[in-house]
Amino acid sequence: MSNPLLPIVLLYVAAFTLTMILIANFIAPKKLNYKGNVSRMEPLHREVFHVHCLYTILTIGGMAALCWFMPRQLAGGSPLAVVLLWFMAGYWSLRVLIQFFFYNREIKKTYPVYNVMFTLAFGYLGLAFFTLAVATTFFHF
Amino acid sequence: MISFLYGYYPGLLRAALLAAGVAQLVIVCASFAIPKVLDWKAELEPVGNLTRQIFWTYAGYILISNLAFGLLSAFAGGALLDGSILASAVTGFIALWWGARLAIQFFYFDTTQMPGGRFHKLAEAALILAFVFLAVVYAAALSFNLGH
Repeated sequence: MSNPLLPIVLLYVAAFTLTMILIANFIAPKKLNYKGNVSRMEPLHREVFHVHCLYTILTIGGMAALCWFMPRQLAGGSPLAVVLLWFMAGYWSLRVLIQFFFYNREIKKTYPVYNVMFTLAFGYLGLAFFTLAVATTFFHF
Repeated sequence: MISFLYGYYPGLLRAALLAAGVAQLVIVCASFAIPKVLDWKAELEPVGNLTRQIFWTYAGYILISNLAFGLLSAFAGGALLDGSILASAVTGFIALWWGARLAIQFFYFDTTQMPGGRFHKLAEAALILAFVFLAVVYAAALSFNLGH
């Protein structure tokens, strides 16, 4: 990766993708009727579910903020940056596998456009962070 | 006296981060018991497939994040104290993570629904202490990074 602009571009596209996923996290509860579904849970589990949602939003927001505001530091090859890139690569690659092998096929058939869009977004994030992690770990740009 | 202590501060903070890393790894191990203690399987039976899968996915990701924070702090604590803007962002994020968890414990969770008994009360107290310790350590690490 001899072009110094390429990692920055990859990270800005990742930032945009993460922001879109973040926005989708605010739209999904209504679209997927979280309220109706969650009302069938005991109050304690309902609270746990809401906390899980909050922390997921916090994590995705944190990643988006890193990519928007610190792309040079992330691509800079410091030990912390390398660890973060590997973490994000693993996080989103795992999310692709979950989309393919864990989520129910019927649900994916019900929302085919969303399924393709999310799979592509997760795939891009996994691949972009993996490429940058490999580049910073083994090639130091 | 204060300036004498100041010389030891980075070393103390490094040791505190190591302890924080171990604490988070213990929380991760303890988290494996939660689905059984709170009977998630039966509780999630009445909800739709998608909500159940989202619940498990989110829980898994939170576990992975805690594991990553634990490993990073235990094995690469120095990288979290290098004074860089990235170290500030990460320590600030983890401080927010545990600070929010502490606030949720006190102001959001209805703890009257938690399982009773002496063991569970002790476990809850240990958990609260761990959240306080983690929030304070990462806030101190953030302050150290911002000061450099």
